[in-house]
Amino acid sequence: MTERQSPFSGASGRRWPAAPFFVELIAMVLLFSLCAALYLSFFAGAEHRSKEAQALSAAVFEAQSAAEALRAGRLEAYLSDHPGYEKMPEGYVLSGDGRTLSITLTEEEAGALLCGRILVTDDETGEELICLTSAALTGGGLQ
Amino acid sequence: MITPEKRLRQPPVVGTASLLTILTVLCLSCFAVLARLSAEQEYRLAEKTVRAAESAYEADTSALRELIAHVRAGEQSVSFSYLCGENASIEVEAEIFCSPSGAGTLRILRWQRCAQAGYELLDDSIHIWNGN
Repeated sequence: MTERQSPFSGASGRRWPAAPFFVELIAMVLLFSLCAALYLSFFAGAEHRSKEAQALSAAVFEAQSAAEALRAGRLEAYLSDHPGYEKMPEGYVLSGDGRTLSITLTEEEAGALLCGRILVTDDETGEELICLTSAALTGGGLQ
Repeated sequence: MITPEKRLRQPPVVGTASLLTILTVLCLSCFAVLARLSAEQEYRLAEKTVRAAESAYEADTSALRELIAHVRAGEQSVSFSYLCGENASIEVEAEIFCSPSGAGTLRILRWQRCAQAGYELLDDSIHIWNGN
């Protein structure tokens, strides 16, 4: 009667012939774990970068919208579309979507030019996303 | 018949599961790298848009200041070109109409951003109208 051998033991009955199987298994598990960690870091980095790009693009649109309104001399109409704005001594502040848009108005050229510095900052980091300078002729001071 | 000695000399067998794992790892590596590169390019494009918008509005404001300077110099008809970056300019034409009562009206006839120099297309295989 022959003794039944364990699948992990070799023909000679010793336990080392199963080593290639375990080496392969451990190597695969290690490889997959390492790669999974790498993918996760890559995907997390990509997602973070993509969100930053989206925030930057949204900031550009917001700033350009305010700049065009100022340029067209219709800043009041623009602000009426944003009911949550605050009037400050030097201009206006609008907050929303994690960003703050501040408009600082100054008169230049002896009142002939109304200049607006439009700054969009990220509320979370406080980072300046975009800063535009727009201006409109006021009609005064050109005599 | 395979003797135990011959079996010991055989190279380690790579099973189907291992091959599938390796292929999966390779595919996911490609996707991860592509996703990261795509996000980086998207961010760089957004940064370029920010710089372009900032310089465009800055040039616009400077052109307005120059227009005011021309008007204050007493010119009835103003026409000038304001350089905006390396390859663009803002073409401005304005006139001052004086009413009999003496009040003047500044009318801007042209405020146009134009390409300064003729641009060269790097890819000649695409036939694009160059505006001429």
